[in-house]
Amino acid sequence: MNYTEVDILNFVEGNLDDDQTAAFLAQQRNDPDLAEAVKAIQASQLPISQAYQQQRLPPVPTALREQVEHLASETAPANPSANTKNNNSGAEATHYDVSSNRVVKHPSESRIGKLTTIGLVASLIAGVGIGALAMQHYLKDDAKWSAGFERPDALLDSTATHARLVKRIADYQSLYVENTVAKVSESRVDDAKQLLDSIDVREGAEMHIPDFSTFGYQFARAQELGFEGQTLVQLVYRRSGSAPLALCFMPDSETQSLPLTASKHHSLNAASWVTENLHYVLVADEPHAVLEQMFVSASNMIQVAPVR
Amino acid sequence: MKQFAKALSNELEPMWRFALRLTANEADAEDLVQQTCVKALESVQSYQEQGRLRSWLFRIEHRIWLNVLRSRQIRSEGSFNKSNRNLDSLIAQNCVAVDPSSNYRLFVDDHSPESQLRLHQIFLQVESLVEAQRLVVILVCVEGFTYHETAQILDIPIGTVMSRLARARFSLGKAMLAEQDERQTAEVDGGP
Repeated sequence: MNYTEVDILNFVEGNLDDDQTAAFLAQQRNDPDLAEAVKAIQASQLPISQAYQQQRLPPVPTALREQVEHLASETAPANPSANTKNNNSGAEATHYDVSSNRVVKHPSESRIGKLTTIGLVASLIAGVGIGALAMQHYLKDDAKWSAGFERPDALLDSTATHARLVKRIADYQSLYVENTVAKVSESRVDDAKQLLDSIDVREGAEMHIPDFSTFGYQFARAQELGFEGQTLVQLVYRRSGSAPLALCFMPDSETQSLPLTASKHHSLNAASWVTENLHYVLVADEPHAVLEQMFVSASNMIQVAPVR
Repeated sequence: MKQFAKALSNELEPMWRFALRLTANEADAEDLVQQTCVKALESVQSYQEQGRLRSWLFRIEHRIWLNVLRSRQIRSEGSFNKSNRNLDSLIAQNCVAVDPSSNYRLFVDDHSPESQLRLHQIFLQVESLVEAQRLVVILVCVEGFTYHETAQILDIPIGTVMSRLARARFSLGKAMLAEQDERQTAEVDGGP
């Protein structure tokens, strides 16, 4: 019988039964190559783990640790019931809630749930357009990139929610690197296309996603996340040689609108606003001036090229 | 599942360690761990709690790394045809980038006691293995994963894990025996 290296390993580790061991020993006596192999594997019983424990590895980079621990430290209770639009019974799917770092369950096949997302994306198209118009008006007033303007008290809660959302999205996005979406499969792009096609059917309008190709960013994928129990849609764009860009949006019945705001988180800049009860957050490793151009550019997105 | 993010944070050190050993490059390792965290958070529903979180994370990490290697290989070849690519040779080629003199691979100096020198010798022997075998040795012998977990992490059959481990141990054993012979010969030659 010819023994494989696995048989030899099993013999050395004592995994053969009595009959197998006897047969192996008999063969070993008559087979010098086998005897040599056994001797070699027996000699390989070395303190390998101990050897690696002596290895001096650099510590986890502080920035990386802080990013991950920050995500882990957020313990705001998830409230799946708050996601009332997704409360239908049926097969459950989940999404990651960036506010609570939890998996929130929702009915994956729920028509309502699907339409909610579809509606969100549809609203995105209109919302960014309207937002861009608001932005243009805002720019005319020479009050662009508001960072701390006066607001009526009634808006303070909305503003706080918006600020939390922007921070969470930026924290999460800071974990993205170029390779995160470099290998996004065709099926995901197809999924996004399908989603957008569904919007087309539902809304009766030709739907596109914002096109940032003039800035070198190509659409990579759309996915559903969550924030404080609410559905959050993330569109990710990639560009060779730089971190991915994210455009996120989330409905909020409590907040009608907020002007464009600039903020910085880690190495990322964010542009955010609320239009027609939808929060928008644009996060990228770009100067605010470029984000501003992107925002203005998005105002024409209804006419932009379809998803590729 | 409620504690998933916290558990992920607790696994940062092992993920970082594994990333360094896969990439032999701190910048790549940082990217790899970041991507692993993102992927884990986005795929958490596929995590089976009966399995060890660490092996699930290592599996993600290893898959991402293979994709990085494939991308680099494709870019370097200027071709998108990867149908006939041999993964082992791909890994082996990319691991030419592993620099055995990089600072975190050296952990002894000339004044280390003999026991440490021996450990260093063992370390170098493992590091000189074919990449596919080196990974199996690290996962089984260093990280303490079972054959089954190692097979899952590397996406290979359990028989392949055992085969690679056996070949690795055969190589290590032969090297150790050769070293013993050399030492004995030297002692005889240097004797009275």
